[in-house]
Order: sequence, then C-alpha cells, then structure tokens
Amino acid sequence: MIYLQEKLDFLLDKYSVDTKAELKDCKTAVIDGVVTPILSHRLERRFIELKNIVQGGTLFGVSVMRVARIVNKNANIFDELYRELDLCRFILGKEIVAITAVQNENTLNVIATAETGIVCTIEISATLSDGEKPKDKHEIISQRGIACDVVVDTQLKQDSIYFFGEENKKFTDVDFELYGLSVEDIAVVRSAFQIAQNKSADLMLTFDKELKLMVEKAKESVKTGERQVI
Amino acid sequence: MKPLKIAMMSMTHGHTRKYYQTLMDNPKLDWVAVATANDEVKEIFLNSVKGIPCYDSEIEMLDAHPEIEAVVLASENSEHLRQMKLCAERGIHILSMKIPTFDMEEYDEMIDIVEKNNLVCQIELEMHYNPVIVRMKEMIANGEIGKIKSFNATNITLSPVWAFPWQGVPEKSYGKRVSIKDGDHRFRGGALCDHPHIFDMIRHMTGSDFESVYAEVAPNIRPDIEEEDMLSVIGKMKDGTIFSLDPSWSKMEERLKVPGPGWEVFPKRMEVNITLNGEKGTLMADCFGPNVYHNGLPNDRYTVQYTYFDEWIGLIDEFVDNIRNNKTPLINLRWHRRTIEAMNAVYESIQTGKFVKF
Repeated sequence: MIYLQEKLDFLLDKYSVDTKAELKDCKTAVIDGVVTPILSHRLERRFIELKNIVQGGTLFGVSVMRVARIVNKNANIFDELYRELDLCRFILGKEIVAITAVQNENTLNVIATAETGIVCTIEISATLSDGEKPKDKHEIISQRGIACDVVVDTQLKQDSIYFFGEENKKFTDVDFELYGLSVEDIAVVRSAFQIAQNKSADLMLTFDKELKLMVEKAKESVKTGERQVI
Repeated sequence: MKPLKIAMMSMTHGHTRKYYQTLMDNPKLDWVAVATANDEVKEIFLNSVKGIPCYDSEIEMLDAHPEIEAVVLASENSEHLRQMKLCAERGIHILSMKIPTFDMEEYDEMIDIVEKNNLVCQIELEMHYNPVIVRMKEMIANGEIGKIKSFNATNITLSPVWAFPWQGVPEKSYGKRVSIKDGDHRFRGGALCDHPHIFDMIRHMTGSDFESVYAEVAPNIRPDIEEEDMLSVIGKMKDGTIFSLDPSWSKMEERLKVPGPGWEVFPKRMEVNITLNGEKGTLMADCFGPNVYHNGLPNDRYTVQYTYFDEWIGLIDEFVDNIRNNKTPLINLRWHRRTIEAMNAVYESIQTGKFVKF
C-alpha cells in the first residue's frame, strides 16, 4: 500500500490537487478526512471503454449484460457481487430495479433487472487456488452489436507480453504514468486520485449505500427463494 | 452387420443438412429415400444431395420402400407426434429431433406408442458425441473437479427463423400460441425451444435432478419476430448445485434463406461453453474450438470458421447399435421428459415472475 500511496501522491502533486487522499486498502481511501469507498473497478480502462461503447451510441437497443467472475477461494462472493452490480450500473447507465439470486456455499448466480427491462446475469464463484488471478468476462448484447472485454472465441483474457525463457513471464502494462503497477493497482490509484480531484467522495458514499442495499436484497432472495424489488 | 435402411422425413429442421454426409458415408447405413415437406426444401435437398430418391409424400415414400427400418424425423416440432404414429404403424425405428413436443400429454402418448410397438426412439442431443463433453464427463467421473457447486453454461446461436421459418411460428415450434407473459406481445416458441442441450447436460454431469428454476426474458434483439430471442435462467438442482443457463439467440445473423457462408453478422455463429465450479477448482470448456478465422468472401467480415462439427457420426453409430442390438438410447423419451419439463418451467417462471419448484 505504501508504494501505491507514493504513486497517488505523485499524481496529486503533478496535477496540483490540494485535497488530501490516503489509501487505507484497495477498497477505501480517506479523502479529506472521510473514509470513502473508491469503487476502483470503475477506473479500469476496459470498463470505461465498455461504458463509452454502450452509452455513446455504438450499441443500440441493449438487451442483456452477462457477467462471469471467478476469484480466489478466500474471497467473499457478496463482495464480488457488490463490484459486479456496480459495474452493471456503471456500464449500462441504468439503475437495478430487481434482483433474484441462488447460492451454493462459495458460488452465487444472480439475475438483476435494470431499467427498461435489461436483464443482467451475474455468475460468481470463489473457487480459484491461492495466487491464481481472477478470471472474468463482461458482455453487453444489443440489437446492434455486442461489446465484450474478452476477444471473440476465447475464454480468457490475453496479456500484452509473453516471455518464454528459463522462467516464463507475462506482462500487461496499461498506464505510462503509473508504469509498473498491475491493472488492478492502477485502478486503485487512479480512483482515489479522481475522487480527490473531483471532490466526489459524497457520490461514492451514496453509491456504496445503494450497492449495499442491493447486496442485502440478493441475500434476502437467496433466503426466501423470491425475486426482490429494489 | 447388415446396413440399416434409413430414410428422412420433412427436411424442414435446421439439423437436416447435418445428416447428409453421415448418411452417405457411414457404412452401417443404407440411405434409401427422403420425403420432403414442400417444394422449397425439396429444391434445397436436390441441390445438395444426388442419387437419393426424393418423394413429395411420406406415405408414398414408405409404400414405395417397405424395406425402410428407421427414419430421421427432420421436421418441425408440431409434426413429430403424427410422424411417430406413422412410423410406429409400420414398425419403423425413430430418430427424433431434440424437442419431441412441449405438450406433456402428447409426450406421454409418444412414450406409449414407442413402447407398445417395441421401437427404438432416440432423441437427437448430439452434444453427447462431442469430444470436449466426453473429456468433461471423464474429469467429473475421475473426481478431478470434486463435488460440483455450480454449472454455468451457454447454448447461444444466431436465429434460424429466416432459414427455417417454422421456428418463428409459435404453433409449429412450441405447439400452440401462448403469450410469454402478461402485457408482452411475444409468444413462447423462440430461442428456448432451440436449445435443450444445457438443460440435459446438467442432469448428466451432476447426476441430479432439477429442484427449482427461475427465468427472465429480456428485450428482443430482433424486435420484428414474435417469439423470445433473449432469456436467462438460474436455479438449483436437488444436490445443491446452482446453475445459470443462457439459451438465447444472441448472435446476430444475415437473414439468409439457405444457411451458408456470410450467415454471420457477429463473427461467431454458435457457442456452447460450460463452466463447472467444484470443490477442487473451476473447469472452463468451449465445446467448439479451437477454430480458424477469416475475413474473406462473401462479406469481408471477420468470421469464426469452425473446425469440428462431427457429432452426428457418433450419434448415428449409437442409433444403429441401439437398433441392431436392441439397446435403450442414452437419450430416450423417458429420460428426456424431465429436460422438457424443465424447459416448460422456464416459460412458467417467465410468466409468473417466480421460481418454479419441482
């Protein structure tokens, strides 16, 4: 976290942002003294571009958003649901109005209905071994086109560089200013920076409250076996 | 072994052309004749296959060829019961398309007809003869995945309604005209009716039965068809396995009358992907790959060219073996009944907005 804070301080200084921002962990930062959820996934470039495609008119008549996310065994599946529900809202630019869920221990499947009847399916499992990177896929299907963060006819994401030597290596570098950080860590730093720069902590707190309510509704659906209206 | 004398009826089903090569090449078969349902499919058949007698009437074909031992019912769902009766009267074994019927009374009548006449009736669920599926079943049996916790699968394709118009007619696809839900202009009979495989495969892979099903229909990506084309299904099996199934027509197509090159608008016309999350890890499978790619004729569009589509070889081998050795098909009418019930439950859930419990 110290290294990420150094990168955040670098951005704050470079762009003359006076707001104080201190990273607590990968999910929260203290922005001007207020503990703030940073929703860092929103700053991953793939999601920004998917949002631009969906909301900028490249797709027309969105019908379905399909999400699959597989994470480490020790992860909390409802924390992952929080993230994915936020991504559905962020990318579609629509509110979630109802949620239905089934759970089997560390696996969770959800159908969330968004405004205008768009159906979001979210498949989550915490089944990967320690050290294995999360696998995920986000796909939006519309009358005029499909947008996805995984290339057609593949199951997994590609990396930018593969090195096959005595020790095999691979790299995905996506940010010149923050060179050396992982995609996820870049999003953490960029997110805290953007909240400080835009003074948008209050908005993040509102999103957090709404998302926590949706997650509670999903838990309620698991318990009752019924669709929950938000 | 004496080659099985086989014929085909109707030739209106989307899978019709999948049989051409197998019926010509398989030494265990003697392809005797076909009966076509209309002039359009007759012309397509005659342009595709040479040397097989083609009749305008099923009765005419059966009368002319009393040697026929088995028939592939390559027809719309609404014709299956009538054709099964026709075959049963003459003691002819049946290879049925993937949906015998959605009407459970009709379904039970089919079981009765087949059993009373001691016929083999095999349902065409060709995914069981796919090598990726075979590998998955083997890994499950070996305990490599451990107890399955969730089964998530896609069976998504382009829509066949332009090439096979009956699939866009609720009465011919679903068997009758039933509104998909109150206040919705669409009817049952669309994408769901085209995609039973994953509802069947979860039963095989978990060894369990459906406990509950919940489904929602999304806005159509083809607003001008009167059936559903996008839907999502979740639920639970009796052993606790949860599932998420996508049986949509989510890949857009050019509206061709005869399937062929240039059918795809989205580069990939079809996908069956299965993810099994188990106690010992996650298995992700693409049943149709690896493939090759091109952006050549006719549309200069980036396109996935499949490299494997041989499921019908194993399917026909099993069918011949079942008839010659008096065996019960892996996918027989009794086994398949629950799969059809689960698909009907999807429609019921869409209509009621609630889980359907079994």
